[in-house]
Amino acid sequence: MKKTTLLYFLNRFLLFILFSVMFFHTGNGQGKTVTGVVKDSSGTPLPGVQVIVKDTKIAARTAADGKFSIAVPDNQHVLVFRYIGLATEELPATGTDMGNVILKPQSVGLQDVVVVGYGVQRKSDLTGAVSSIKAADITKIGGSNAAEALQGKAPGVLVLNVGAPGSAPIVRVRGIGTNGDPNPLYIVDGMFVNDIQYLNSHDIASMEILKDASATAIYGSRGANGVILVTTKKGRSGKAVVNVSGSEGFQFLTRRYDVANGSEYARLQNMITGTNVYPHPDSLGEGTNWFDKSTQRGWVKDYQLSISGGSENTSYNISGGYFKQDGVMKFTDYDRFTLRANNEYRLNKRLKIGHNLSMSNSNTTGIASSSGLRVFNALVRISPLISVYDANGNFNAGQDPDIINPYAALYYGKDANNKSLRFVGNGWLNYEVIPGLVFRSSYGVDYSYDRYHYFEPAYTISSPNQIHASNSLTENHVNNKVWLWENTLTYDKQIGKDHHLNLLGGITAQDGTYDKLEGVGTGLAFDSPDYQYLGAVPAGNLSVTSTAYSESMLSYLFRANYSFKDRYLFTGTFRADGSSKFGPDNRYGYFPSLALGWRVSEENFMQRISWIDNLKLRASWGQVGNNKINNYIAYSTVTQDPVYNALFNGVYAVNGTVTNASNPAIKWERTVQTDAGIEFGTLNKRLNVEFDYFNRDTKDLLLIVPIPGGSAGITPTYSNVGSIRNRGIEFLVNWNDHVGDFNYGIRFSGSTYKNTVLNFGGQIISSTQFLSSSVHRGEKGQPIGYFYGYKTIGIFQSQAQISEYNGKNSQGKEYQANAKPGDLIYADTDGNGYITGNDQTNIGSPHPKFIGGLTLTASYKNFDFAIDLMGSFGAKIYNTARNQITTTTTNLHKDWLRAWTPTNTNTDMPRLAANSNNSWGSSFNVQDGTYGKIRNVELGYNMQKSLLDKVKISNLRIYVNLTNPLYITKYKGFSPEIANGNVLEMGTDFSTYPVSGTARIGVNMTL
Amino acid sequence: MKNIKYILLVTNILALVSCTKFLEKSPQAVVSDELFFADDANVEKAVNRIYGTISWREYTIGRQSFSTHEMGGEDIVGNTNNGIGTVLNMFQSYTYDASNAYIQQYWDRTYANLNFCNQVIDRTPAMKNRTLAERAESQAKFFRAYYNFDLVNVFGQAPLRDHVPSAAEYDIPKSNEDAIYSLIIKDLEYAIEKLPTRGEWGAAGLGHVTKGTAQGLLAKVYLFRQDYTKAQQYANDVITGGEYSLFADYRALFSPDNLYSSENMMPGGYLFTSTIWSGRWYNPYLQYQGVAGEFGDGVVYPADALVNSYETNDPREAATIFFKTDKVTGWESKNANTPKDGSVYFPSNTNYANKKVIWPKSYWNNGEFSFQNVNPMFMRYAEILLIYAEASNELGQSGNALTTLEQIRYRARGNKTFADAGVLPEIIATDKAELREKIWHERHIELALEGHRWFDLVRYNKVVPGYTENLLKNVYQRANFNYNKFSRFPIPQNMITSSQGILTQNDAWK
Repeated sequence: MKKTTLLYFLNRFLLFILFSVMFFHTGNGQGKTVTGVVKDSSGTPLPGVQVIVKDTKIAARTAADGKFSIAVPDNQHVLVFRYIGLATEELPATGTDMGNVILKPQSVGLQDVVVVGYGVQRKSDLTGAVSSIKAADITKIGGSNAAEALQGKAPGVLVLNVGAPGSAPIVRVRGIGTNGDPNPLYIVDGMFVNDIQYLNSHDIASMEILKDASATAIYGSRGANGVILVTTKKGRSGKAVVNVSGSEGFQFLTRRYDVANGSEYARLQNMITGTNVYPHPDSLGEGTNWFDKSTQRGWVKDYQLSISGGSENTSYNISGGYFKQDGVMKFTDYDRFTLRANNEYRLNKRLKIGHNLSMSNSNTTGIASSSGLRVFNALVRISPLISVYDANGNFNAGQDPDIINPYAALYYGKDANNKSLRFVGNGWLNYEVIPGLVFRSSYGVDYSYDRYHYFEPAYTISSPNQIHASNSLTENHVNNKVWLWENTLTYDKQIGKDHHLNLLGGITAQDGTYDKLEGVGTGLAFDSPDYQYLGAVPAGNLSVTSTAYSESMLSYLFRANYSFKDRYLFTGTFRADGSSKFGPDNRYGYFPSLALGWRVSEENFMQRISWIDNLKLRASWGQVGNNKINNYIAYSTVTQDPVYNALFNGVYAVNGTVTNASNPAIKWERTVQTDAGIEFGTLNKRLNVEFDYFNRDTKDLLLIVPIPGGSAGITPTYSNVGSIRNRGIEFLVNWNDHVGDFNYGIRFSGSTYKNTVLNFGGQIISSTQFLSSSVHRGEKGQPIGYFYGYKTIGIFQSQAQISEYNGKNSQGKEYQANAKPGDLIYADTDGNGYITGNDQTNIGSPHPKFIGGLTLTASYKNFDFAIDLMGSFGAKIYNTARNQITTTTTNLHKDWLRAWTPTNTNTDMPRLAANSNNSWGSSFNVQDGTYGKIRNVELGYNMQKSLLDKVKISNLRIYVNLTNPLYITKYKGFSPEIANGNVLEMGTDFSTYPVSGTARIGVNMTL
Repeated sequence: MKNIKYILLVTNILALVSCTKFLEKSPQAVVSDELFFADDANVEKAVNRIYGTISWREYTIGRQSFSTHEMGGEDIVGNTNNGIGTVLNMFQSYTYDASNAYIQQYWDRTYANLNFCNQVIDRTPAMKNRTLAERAESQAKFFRAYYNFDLVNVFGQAPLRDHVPSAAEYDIPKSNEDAIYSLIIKDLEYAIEKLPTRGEWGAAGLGHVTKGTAQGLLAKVYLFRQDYTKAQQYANDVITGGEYSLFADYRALFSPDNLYSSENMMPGGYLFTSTIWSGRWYNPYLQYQGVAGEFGDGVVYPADALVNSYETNDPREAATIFFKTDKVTGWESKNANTPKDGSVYFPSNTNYANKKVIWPKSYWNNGEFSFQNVNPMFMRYAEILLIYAEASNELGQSGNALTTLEQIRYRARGNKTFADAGVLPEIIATDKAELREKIWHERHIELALEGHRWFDLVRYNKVVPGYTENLLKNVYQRANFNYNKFSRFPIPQNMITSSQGILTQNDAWK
């Protein structure tokens, strides 16, 4: 009796302590009171962090400013800091002021919650393959688009940076399943958006990449290329937290293409023409360095102000940001202003409403991508003996009509400007009907208005590629409106001890309209900026065109999660999507998925194996779809292109006819994906490993295949033919530990995929690129977009060797027509004894064999340090500039100084000649694109708290950051990251804006 | 629990509303063909699209045309310092194969053009306005014959398209030459019957094909079929029709001033305009020519063989060949050492350029060579006279042949007799074989660089077996030439592959 009374009192006492700690922030027990401030690795104070005295029930939470105070009994020395999404820290409670406690971001830990489609799930309950990236990792990259942060971080996600300011990176989840639009689906706070360029990276709390069908099938028809869920930061209860941060720095060209300088160019000219065009090459010196003339250090700046907080019934997070980026190419820049308000209101016990509203206004200036192709091509080909301007200050022409003056092209692009105003937001309501049953309704709109304005003055530099006969003004106005209304019911129920059930059902409707008005006027009377409006265009010189479409979607969705004894997990989802894009009989597509999980470590028989902290096996199967095709494929329509107007008696007459095929039977493309995964934790959860295998088969591919025989005379359209397989593995290894004050973490991720075209309806899809000899193909049994061309097997060293090859066929044919000593020898792959077009073959795949990322983080006292490394292995690049000798006057890479000559035969470079056999698309132009790079490196310092207290600043962190500063690669080009959005252009270099490096310093301050 | 009812009610209503019309979206900002052609008048726009091709686009008059119509012959050479010129030279060294992109481009464009014709021809029978229907159909049939005739000359056998195919009819085998010719002749007979004459089209209709154009093309078709009676008959129809005549001045015939001259039976339609398609204002036909480094790309140049073919002091030589000593009025050379008096600096690999496309700088719109309103003539009256002469000779009517031939030479002399001009003696040969060679020579010179030579050479070998083989192999030392193979181009390899066995390669190219 006495014993129970004592226990009763002890219990009460402990509870009292607990309450005291939680609500009054004062420690009252024996021992000492320990205080400190908890922050995340970017230095932002974290409110609501749970602080526990290890092995006791004594606990406290941090206040809005991240401060905590906790009573620590004498016999206890370790404090545990827990916060969702960040690594749990155990730190010795030495002294009474612990100063700053930094919680590092963690790859998702076991108890963390992961955002999934239409809800959240405990990581431990997940049956699907989901990668998660948290805020601190997203802002570290400092680019304009948050998706850049995924590079090397999320296994199974291939990210290629795009160099132009304000450009979204190329993102591919688990290979490429279509030759159409392979971009993943982005969902920001429940809104389906096509890209996230409008988002301020600093507003993002987390990004989740849904990879397998179990995770994506709830998004049905749009999930086939993976889904990236973006959750923005919400307010937390407590005092207002004001965060101000800013960084400035510059972008620089990380690598250059080593073209010949003035005297080297002269030597190349003497070689190629076989005459002494330049008798004294050395006297010509460096000549014009076109890279120096055309590139710059682009200044970047990024400023944020956010205020967040809340009371018992409301929370808010309001932020504003300004981002500005000058490109590494001259006359290109981007800026963006963003504003966001994420608020939540609890109206009563059952009803909550809220909104996520965001506005962004961006401005992109500089060369249009179409003329951009020529700029980058000319940059490596223009003669260094030409200067930018002539003696009169006019632009000089390139040495050949095909080679433009790249600086002039950049200059004349300076007035090409796109202003984009975008509002994305939704309002939502959550109503708890009965305990466990929640009705949610959300209505959102995505409204954007883009205005493109380009005034191009009249100029004549060279015909036909750098001439503008009269000045012109192009104005585009694009309105895009989408609304989305989603209604869901969720029911969550624990039945008895062992059964847990979570059900979701919903109906969603989406409707979008797009219209574009384009006006092109020529012959404006003045070049003055005040006059650059379409209204100023003389009568008859204005042509106006417009395009428009509208599309709608209606969906029904359902999901059941069931777990038994927390060990056996089951997820089933089903979505039915109807889309206006398809023919009336094929509008609806049905997308089911099933997944099973087994938490082996929870089994009784595993309890004895103490070194295994976590072991989970999971497997999933499902179908997802893709509807990314143009509208109105099902209708036969008339094309009216003024370019093809007829001319009668000197007067143009309008035309219109059917040029494109239509397909009323067009239907859904579906991807069947199976996934098997294992999750494993050991060494006190310090080491966590996750491994996945996937097989992703895309069927009924929405594909434009050539019309067989090609004699129909009509442009083919989409049909449902063909299938592509992507198969691969991905893994993530995480290690977190500390040695005294020194905390560190290592994160290693890697992934592979093997892409194979299973069938393209018996057709070969082929694509060539402008200004390049590369040919990409999609063909059965080969990876999509592989390089097709001649295989080189050496260099003809003598006429005798050529004669020897000529003897390889009995028809008396030359082995390789017009071959000369010094020419590349092509392989006779069809074995007929001589070279024809049929000898072209697979000369390389642009797909990487392995992509890996390694992150090291460390902190010591007030310092923190992080470095991200990444590598891509085995991808091939078609180096167009290496061998683009379509004119004798072209400039070339310095490698050509060691071109084959009768006196220099021991070389890997063939004879230097224009338009010879050597210029054919061959494996000579295909180079290894393997690279390793420093993705990001950052060193931060948290100011001494004692100093900060005096100026009422709760936290101040300064840092220096380098992004993409270094590539290690054998590839000779600007960058081995060749970001061509089109699948059938993948890996062809020298038409894209070079990827740049960035150096920044920044400060992050919390009041 | 009351609330659940409301929620279910709301969701049910949403579901019901949605199901009805929500997913139906009809095309916006584009017009369906059903709607477009519901108005009979719009068929004219579809006819205009056929003319749009002869207006100015590259694939009609650029590389694909030079490769299939000229390069096999001796008149032009590709510029070896130019990527396109180098590939074009493969058609002269006969080292091209079925994977050559220019043949593919020719194939694609020709069948696209045939589709434009069939889009019209398929729709006219249902039209209420018969006048409109027949006018549209006769033009479309003329062009269908024109492209089929070209196609049969390039490939010999080829898939025959006489209507817009359904998806099931996409992949079809080749038809033989006779089947293609039979459609050509049928189409032209219809066109001759229904097409307005040049006079009926009136001034505003200049540029349209006419009854005379159709008669002329049919004459040519019969000439190529070696049916000389009909060739003579249709050529005679054009001559007696009186709508066309020789233009007085051979040089000025090609001038931008004389696009609709009385001699031009099928004018091109390029007219410089700064409002269409900014950035692509240039005339590709010209861009391929000119003198590299000065104006135009100089992709192709006239060859020595052509220059050496002229009779002494034939004025047509000076009107056709631009020599190094020639000047362009108003032109200032880009070369520092060349006098700025209209002289032109020539690159080392040519001594000539095509003068038919070089006009004084005052004709250069916006000061650009390639913006001149210069058009090829796809058919002209002089050719009809030459067809008449050739057919007459083959029919044993040398007298008819000689008088017609003299009309050509008379104009060439500047509308003078030989006695007055002292050049180009009158042809007097009456031996069929001898006169044939004279007529062929006249045809070569008169129509030089106008896209006739290669088809003629292929034809001549049929008229005089071994003629072309001998000319190319022995006279011009082209060892690779083999008439059996190179008289027809191979069907593009990609087409054979994609067809999966239905379309087969021409025998000589297998």
